[in-house]
Amino acid sequence: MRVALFATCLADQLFPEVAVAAVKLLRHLGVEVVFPAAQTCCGQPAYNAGYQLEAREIAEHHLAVFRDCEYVVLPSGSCGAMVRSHYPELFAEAPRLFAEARDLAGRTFELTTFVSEVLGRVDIGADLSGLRVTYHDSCHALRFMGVDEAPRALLRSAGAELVEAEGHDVCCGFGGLFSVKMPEISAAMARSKLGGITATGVGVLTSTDAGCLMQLAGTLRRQGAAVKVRHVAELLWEGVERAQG
Amino acid sequence: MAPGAGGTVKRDAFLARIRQALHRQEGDPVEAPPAVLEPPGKWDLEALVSAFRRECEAVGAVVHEVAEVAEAGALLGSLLSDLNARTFLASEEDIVAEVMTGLPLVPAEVPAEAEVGITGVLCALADTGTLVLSSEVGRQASLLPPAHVALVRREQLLPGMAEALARFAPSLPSAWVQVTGPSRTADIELTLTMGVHGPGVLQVLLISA
Amino acid sequence: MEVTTQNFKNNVGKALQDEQLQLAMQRATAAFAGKRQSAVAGFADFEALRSYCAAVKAHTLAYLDHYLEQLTASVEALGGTVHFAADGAEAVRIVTALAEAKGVRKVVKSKSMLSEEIHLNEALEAKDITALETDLGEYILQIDGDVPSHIIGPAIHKTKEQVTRLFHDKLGTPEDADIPTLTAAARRLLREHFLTADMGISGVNFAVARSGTVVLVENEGNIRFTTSLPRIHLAMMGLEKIIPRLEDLPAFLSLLPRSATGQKASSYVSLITGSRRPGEPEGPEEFHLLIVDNGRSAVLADPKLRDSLRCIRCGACLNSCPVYQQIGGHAYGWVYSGPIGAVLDPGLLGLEPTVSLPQASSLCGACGEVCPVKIPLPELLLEHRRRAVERGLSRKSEKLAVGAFAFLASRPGLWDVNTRIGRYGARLLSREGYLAGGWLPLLGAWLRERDFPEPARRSFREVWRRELAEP
Repeated sequence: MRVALFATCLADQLFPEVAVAAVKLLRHLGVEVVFPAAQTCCGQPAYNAGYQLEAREIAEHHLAVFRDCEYVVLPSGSCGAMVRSHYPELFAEAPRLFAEARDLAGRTFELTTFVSEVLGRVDIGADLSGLRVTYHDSCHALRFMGVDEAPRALLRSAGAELVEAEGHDVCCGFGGLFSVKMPEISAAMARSKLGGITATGVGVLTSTDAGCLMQLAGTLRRQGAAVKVRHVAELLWEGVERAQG
Repeated sequence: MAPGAGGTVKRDAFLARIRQALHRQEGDPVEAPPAVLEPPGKWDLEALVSAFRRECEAVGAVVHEVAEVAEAGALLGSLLSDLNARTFLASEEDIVAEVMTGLPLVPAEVPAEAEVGITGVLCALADTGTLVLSSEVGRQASLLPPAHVALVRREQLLPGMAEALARFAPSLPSAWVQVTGPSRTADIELTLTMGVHGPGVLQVLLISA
Repeated sequence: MEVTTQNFKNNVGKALQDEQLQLAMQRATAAFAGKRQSAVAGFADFEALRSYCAAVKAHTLAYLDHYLEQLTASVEALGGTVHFAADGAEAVRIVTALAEAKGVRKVVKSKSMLSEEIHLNEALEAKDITALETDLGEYILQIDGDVPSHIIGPAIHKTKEQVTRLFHDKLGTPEDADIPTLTAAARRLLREHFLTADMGISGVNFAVARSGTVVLVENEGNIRFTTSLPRIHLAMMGLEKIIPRLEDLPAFLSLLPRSATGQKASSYVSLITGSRRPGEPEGPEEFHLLIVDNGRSAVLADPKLRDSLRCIRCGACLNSCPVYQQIGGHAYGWVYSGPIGAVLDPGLLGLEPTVSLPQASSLCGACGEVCPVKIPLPELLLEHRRRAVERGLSRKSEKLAVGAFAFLASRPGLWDVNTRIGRYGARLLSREGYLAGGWLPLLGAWLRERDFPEPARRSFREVWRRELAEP
């Protein structure tokens, strides 16, 4: 089985370790991974800010890049939601592109869902025993990509102790450009969110989305808090490395 | 009261603007509305009684079951002496007159100062513990006094509003009021307080016969 | 209510500094949302009800002219009078003219957001007619000269201490009065007014076309007083409040209280069909229904925005909104706040003065999930954003930046080069692994509130090329 990795612009440019972990994880599970180098961004920041034309321009390029890949896997729920829910809408008036968008939507998978549902693996040979972690539900992952049980099941199966935070499914306040267009509200939302997270007493916060993690990590550091922030792909790969000695 | 000529002009202009918004012409056909959702399940009387009781108590209404009218009268007498209530407002219903026979109650001279209101019901709804009151027999007795005692016959129990409307509509009184528990508010800091404008005490006498 | 939607940024700044407001909002929204959650979880057919009620509302809006005619005929057949007002000014004229013609000196009012839209109380007072709010929350706001901040609990932004002080100042209650004492004082005072008022003005939750019935939902009893004691009852409604049949009511009355406060049923539901019948011992002598447009027909005409008229004013979207929770209702600057406000205010007032409202969302989707009539709120927020861009209401710098981004993102060679330059430049701003640069656009806004990590030396695509690519 071969998958094309969609690294996402955030991971590619700012958090490469997330995409690296995703590749290593998939290979460990016996999957061949390719990286179409022409990829850039899914267009979500433009789309969510109301820039339909610009979003379409970016999306057309993205469609072309991933046209011939059987599976497209990405370490993100929100970029996946963009492709699955919004690409078809973007091309509603252009039949050929609409068909391509529908097709790509059917082949695009968030990483943890791909592992548990397509590969059918929950035990991935990772050892995270002793890890106390809380999981943040990224809004788009949860509400548009159905990412809910998969990451939790993978973490638990590796022996991690998962502590549910109050408000685990409440928005962290990132929202793409919203975080810089309305920074005070965005930050107030992050602070409320972190109240629930620090109350769990765990040392590690994780999620499927780099945007959310960037928002929460940046706020935690500003607060001087000790909670570490790691993407779920990174945690799972570390667990695999640990299990392998 | 029919509208004057100015009123008709305004109405026509108003409707014309709506039609324009909808791209419709006067007299255009109308599709049927969606089919009404059927209420779930069929209930038997015992189930109705226990559901009614449970729901009433959940909202702070007290239910007393009595076998027949004479017993209701005696119970009403003791409830009223507990409430220290002597002046009353009552709706114009036979059952009220029957149950109140011989009780030491005085009609309130000033309705707003009555200490208790006594009414029957048009029917009662088991799914939410609701009393349905009809303005045919008055409005104030269940509204003004701080305590309301409602007399309900078992046979007046229905599963819910859908059944009640099926039985009584389309001939509705000017006010059909569904009462579920005492009056309440949480407007000040979300703290629940009973008896804001309507009665703070609601007692239901459920009569079998 | 005065429109201050254009001052959104200022309003928000003030709200976020207000610690008491923050506390009140968190408490209130958590309580309402929690109660709704329990009520919905315990109700087997909630999804079926949502679909049904959404369909009934959509149908009614599609044939609204027909249902308005039917409603009018039904009310008139009972001897009631129906008035039509194209806008707020006309509505106010109708009410004041009616009041003057009937010798009305005092009006008691139950909660009506429409009356806030059209500044009705002020208009009545200008004609020397006393207009008193009777819903406890609204009454508190009235004597304080304040305005509502939430659809269901209009005074939730006030603490108990604030109300105690207010009542002491205005009503002479003790300085240490507890909530039951305050409530009893309001009850006594408002009862006097109920008994001496000439006209009761109510809103409308649902108007049933086939029977001419207006349906009113409450917990306190002030609506029953308002619609029973004075000799004239005037019900005022936006044109979108219609539903076709009485048989539709049980479903809507199951959805509304559960979504609003988590109750299975509100304490009182009044089905008012005309004025007192011959033979009835009590009740108003006259029934008037005022149907108001005030911008709604424009929303109706808009195929995308029309769905927002399905709203049954339950407040569930407010309680689920993490933005509303932080800024409260006043920040939105008009009668309707929260997600429905951000969608409806631009529809009713125009996009230019309200353009910030649909931007105040992370598009998390929580509101769309809880709306009992399935209004696609996140989609409508996005639609307003699209229109803002199309109408040139977005900032030039933003438009340029997004355009540049799109240009680069569809040209991988240029993307590669520019991101390298960008990352290199960012590392120049780095202090101890984090970026400084509060003077920069975008990054500056981020840094005001949070830290930003320095980009890695190598992007992922470089790591791939050098280490991960397999032959």
